[in-house]
Amino acid sequence: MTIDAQMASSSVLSRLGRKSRSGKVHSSFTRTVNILCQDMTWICLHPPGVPMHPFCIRVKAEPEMGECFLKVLWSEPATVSRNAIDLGGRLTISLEQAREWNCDLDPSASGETSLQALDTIDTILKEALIDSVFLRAVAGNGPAATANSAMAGGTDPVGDGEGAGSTEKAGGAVVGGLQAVLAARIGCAVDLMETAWRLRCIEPVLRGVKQLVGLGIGLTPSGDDFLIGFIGAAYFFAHGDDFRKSVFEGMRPLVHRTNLPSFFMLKAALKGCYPGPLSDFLHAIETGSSDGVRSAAKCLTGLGATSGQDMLAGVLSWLHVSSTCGAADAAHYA
Amino acid sequence: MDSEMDSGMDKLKDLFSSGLVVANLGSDVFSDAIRTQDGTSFQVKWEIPCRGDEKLFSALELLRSREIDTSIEQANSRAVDILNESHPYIVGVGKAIDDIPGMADNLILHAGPPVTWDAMCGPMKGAVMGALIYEGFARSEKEAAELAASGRICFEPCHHHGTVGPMAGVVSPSMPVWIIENKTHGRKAYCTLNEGLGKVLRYGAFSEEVIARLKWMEATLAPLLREAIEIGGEIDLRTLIAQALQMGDEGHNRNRAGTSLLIRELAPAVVRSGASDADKAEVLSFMHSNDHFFLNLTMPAGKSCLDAIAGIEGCTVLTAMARNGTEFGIRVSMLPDRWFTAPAPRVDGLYLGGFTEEDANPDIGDSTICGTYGIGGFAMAAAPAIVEFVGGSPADALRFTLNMYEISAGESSSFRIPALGFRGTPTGIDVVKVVEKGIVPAVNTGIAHKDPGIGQVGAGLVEPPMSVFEDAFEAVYEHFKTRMKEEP
Amino acid sequence: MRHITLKASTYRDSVALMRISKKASGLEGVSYVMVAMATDTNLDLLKEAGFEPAEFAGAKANDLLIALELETDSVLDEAVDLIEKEIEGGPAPSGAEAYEAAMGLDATLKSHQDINLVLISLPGRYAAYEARKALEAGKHVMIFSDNVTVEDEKQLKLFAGERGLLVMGPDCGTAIINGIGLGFANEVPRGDIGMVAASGTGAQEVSSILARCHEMGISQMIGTGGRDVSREVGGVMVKMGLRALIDDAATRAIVVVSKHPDREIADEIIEVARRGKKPCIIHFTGQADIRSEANLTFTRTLAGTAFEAARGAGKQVEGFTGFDEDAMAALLAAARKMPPGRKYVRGLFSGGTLAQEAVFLLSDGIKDIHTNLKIGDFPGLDDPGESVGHTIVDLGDDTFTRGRAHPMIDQAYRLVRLQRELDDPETAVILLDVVLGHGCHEAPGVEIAEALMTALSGGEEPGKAREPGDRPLVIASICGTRGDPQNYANERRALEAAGVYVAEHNEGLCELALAALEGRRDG
Repeated sequence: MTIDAQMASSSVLSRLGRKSRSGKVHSSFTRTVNILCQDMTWICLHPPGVPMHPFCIRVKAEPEMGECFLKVLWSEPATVSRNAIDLGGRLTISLEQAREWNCDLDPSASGETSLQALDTIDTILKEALIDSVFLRAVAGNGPAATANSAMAGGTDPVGDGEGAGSTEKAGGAVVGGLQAVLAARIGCAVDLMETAWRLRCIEPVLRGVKQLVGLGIGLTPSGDDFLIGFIGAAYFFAHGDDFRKSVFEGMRPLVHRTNLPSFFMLKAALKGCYPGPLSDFLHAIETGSSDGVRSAAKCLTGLGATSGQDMLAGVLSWLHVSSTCGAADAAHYA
Repeated sequence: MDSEMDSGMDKLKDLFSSGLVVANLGSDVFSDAIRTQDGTSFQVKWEIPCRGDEKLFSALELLRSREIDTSIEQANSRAVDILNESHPYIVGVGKAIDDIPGMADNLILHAGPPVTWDAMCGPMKGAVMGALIYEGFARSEKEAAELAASGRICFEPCHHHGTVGPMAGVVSPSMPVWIIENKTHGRKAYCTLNEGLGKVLRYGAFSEEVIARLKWMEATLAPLLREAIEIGGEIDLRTLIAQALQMGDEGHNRNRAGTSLLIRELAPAVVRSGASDADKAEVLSFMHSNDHFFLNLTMPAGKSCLDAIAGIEGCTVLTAMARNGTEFGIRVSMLPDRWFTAPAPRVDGLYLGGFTEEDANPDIGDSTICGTYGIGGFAMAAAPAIVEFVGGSPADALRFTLNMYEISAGESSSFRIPALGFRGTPTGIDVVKVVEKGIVPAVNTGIAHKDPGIGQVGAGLVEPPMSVFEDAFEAVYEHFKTRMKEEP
Repeated sequence: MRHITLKASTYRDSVALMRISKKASGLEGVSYVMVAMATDTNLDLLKEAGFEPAEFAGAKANDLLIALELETDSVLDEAVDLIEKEIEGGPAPSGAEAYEAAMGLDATLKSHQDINLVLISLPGRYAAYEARKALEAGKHVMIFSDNVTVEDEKQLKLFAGERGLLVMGPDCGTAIINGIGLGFANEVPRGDIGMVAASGTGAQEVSSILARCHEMGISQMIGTGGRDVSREVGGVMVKMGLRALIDDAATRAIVVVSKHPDREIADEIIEVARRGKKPCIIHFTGQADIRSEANLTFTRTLAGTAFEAARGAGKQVEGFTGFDEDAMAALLAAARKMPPGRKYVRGLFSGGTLAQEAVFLLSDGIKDIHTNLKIGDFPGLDDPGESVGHTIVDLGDDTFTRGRAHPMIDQAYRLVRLQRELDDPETAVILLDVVLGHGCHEAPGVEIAEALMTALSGGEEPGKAREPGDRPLVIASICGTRGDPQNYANERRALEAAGVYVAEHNEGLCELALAALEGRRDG
């Protein structure tokens, strides 16, 4: 059976040449088929409804799509060329009609972020159901909370204190429990990254990154999603900053510390390629209209289980960095 | 020299002139690379031999050295041939004291390797007490326990007397027994008649109803069956088991088809017997109401065949796996006088309503003779219905059986599995392969309550302790080492 | 109580994982559930939270990890059951493929009778054990693994020899059978040149030069492992392979490539080749003193071997230089500009035979080359990790690969070493071999180019960037073909963009290196 692809990420298309390359199905789910080629080209097939991202090829909706994807066996051979992707000889994705989707984030932002955007995000957070430990840490409960809330005008962004309650439960009910350790670790790492960035000390930033790569729940560990959000915001708002460039450079060797799907997303992020909803969200913040931010945030948080929320947390974390000046002692981090 | 080389060149010529087909052991990068060049490569599952145990692996290397390996190979394939040639029949119904060799008035047989009264588990003790009450040696639980502990009663494994028993496997002198004969090798084996499900002696229950049922079996069931076989003639068990496997049984935990087939064989003769209509009806409905009636025939069928391969020099095939609720034991053909034992494992299973793992007794019974014989757990693929009962899927059933080929010396010529293209079941568990591959035989089983008198509480899967196979393996190794010294 | 369940190589999409974790957290008595990938970071986290490291020993980033914290122990089974069911509920490999994947060697050989070769890359001791089983089943064997004892190798080869079976290896990096490359093989067309090689990169170099420069193909390439030509093993497989190719109608000319064989074994090999009548080109690295005769041609270099082989198979080939004239001119110009303190050659090789050839060829022009290769009278290195004067290191040597992947797969150490040689003010020329082919690093040249660009721009400390003229020259050769899974053109472009002088082959690389040093002296 042959299905037409509607849209394909520019970074995938640019890698595909006329000569076909072989690979194999890395994994398959109802809404995803991941393909790993021998030359380390990574491709994800999705039906419409899954937002575009740097490895995404969106195929036309077919009835029983999920069934169809699930019939693709893990590890079965795949052949990939500019024209078509062949999966085990049973399913072919034709790329003839695929439109190119540009995955590069255009970093033409002014570098000025508006506090108004932060306020809007606060409100959104109040309304949102928060699953992400990261968002909690960044939004007001981690060790970074004091600095954050001071910056955000002293308000508890979550408002109802629900977040605080859960951390206490985690810390209280199970002493030294996994959840508490996770929350503490996230808190420390995020705090370290934020403060060190403000002080422009590269080594501790990378130490923070190292603690976050591969950390936490999900197929793409939450820590990685957080980093993608953080990297994305930094890339967008501080594109010309040499310090940012050095940090990205230093991060490159660290991103292999996770599983394959996540590794590719991080690698792409360092090159300036991001999932559509994240790019859209960053543009929305730049424009600053509160409705725009709201709808873009909604789109972003709908990504994956907590992936979008974790990315949002990453963006938020970078906004904190950029909108405050460091008060901590530089020597402490050096 | 030159002619030798010429014959050599043939193999290389074949390679150059046919398509390259590779089995890849190790990094799958190479498999992938071959496939991208449109070549064929099968990625082989590989695990460190002997689970990475250096000492065992050194022993394995010796056992796999050409000479020894060949002699083991020959002995094992002979064992498989014997098992395949074996042809068990039901030849009659007798009485333990009259028919079982070496049976004595004060002797109680039990399942598994040898065990003393003190070391017996709850259900085993319950079954022994029940048997003593049934025999009239004791009137109460207390009396029975005192008598059992007094030393006046002897205990020996069924396996030492050509007998096998499910669960507690208790056989006392006046119990009726099936008499099975492996006609090819003239070996006889014995087993009690199956009492049914629920509260039964084999699970250690000994209430009045249990004793009453045993009495009825002795007085009514056994004589009628004996007469029926006399009228209808001996029954070909190998064919019955083979058919049952085609009908969704595996001969251990599922015996519904086998029981039905047996009733079909027996019914005309039962009707023609001299018993009263009421008795005939009761006997037929007793068999009908008990899906496991046939189990007590597959087990001695296996025993009569496996006894024929005991004591083959250099043969590393198991002749028994058995558990007494305290210990799990195995016997190896080439070391016929030894048991290798370890504490009986717990059963991983599903429980009947109201019972939990807490209530379970460790693994018990001689019924693992089925797997040893190439049915039971080894024929799971034939019985997809039972995996549900142990919490798996039909695919698991196939996997179970496929896995067992890895540790078997051969395949059955009689018992075949429809789902595997009528491939013969894996037959003859090779203890060397078990240790080499780190795969223990698949065992499915019932679960007895740990306290005497309660009965069955569930069913599930058991992973036999690897240490018994490792111990046997080392004994095999020592044997060959000694042999090598003796014949320089 | 705490409990860990690991599922090897399991991926479920994040939504499914979240659902599983929510469901399990909902059970009475479960205080926390974490469903995550077993990345190092997450494993550290578990340790910190007090989980027993033994419970997750050996977990890898692609394994799925389920960590449970329970208030009541009794809920464990229920929780684990629920989680397993939820996970299994997802897609599982189905059908025949799943069963095949679960088959061991015996079962695989039994159910696929047409298998004719078993390729083994297992820890040495087990490699010999499994190879024996494969031979007993009548299959040819290729052993990629090293660390197989000489005794085992000898036994295996004698056993195989009696039965006319091939044992390629141990330590056989590459072979091409019926046009299919095994191990680290280049994408080479089929043709009429047969090869027997007791050296992995030597075979790769010859076959890829044949394909890339002479447009010739390979009928069969039989690898034997380097130790085959030692006195202990007796050249069993080289001789057998040679006989097979002499017999093979599809082979017109034969190439034998080997690192320094035992003298007696070399004579035996030559005798077999002589009787075979087919044109036979023989290259024993470092042994240039054998005179060619009738059907036998002895060559001094690998590139020369490829050239002679192409001629032997009837191709009209002109001699060709191993480098571009423009590159040579640019190189000489740059060499003259270098400060006088820069005087040494540093070769960082991933291919053993390539390193060896480099030592021999360079020794024509320079004295006292230090090397970790145990050959001839060349001085060794007290610490192979430190360069002394002129140094050629084989980074594929055991000392470097213990606990680490081979540099043809993982260049991490080579890049560190490269940085060190760049930083050394006495380094004049750095030599690198870039080996392509199946199984190799996915873009070794690009990686080197990136590292060079970073290093030369001063890396993290831009202030450290040197004066344009004050840097060592980097010369590389690419061993590979245009059909290789890595993009040959791209690799070459990347290297050139990073200022690397790229030679056509290893011999060309040595010529460039010698010229650069000469140029230094002249300047």
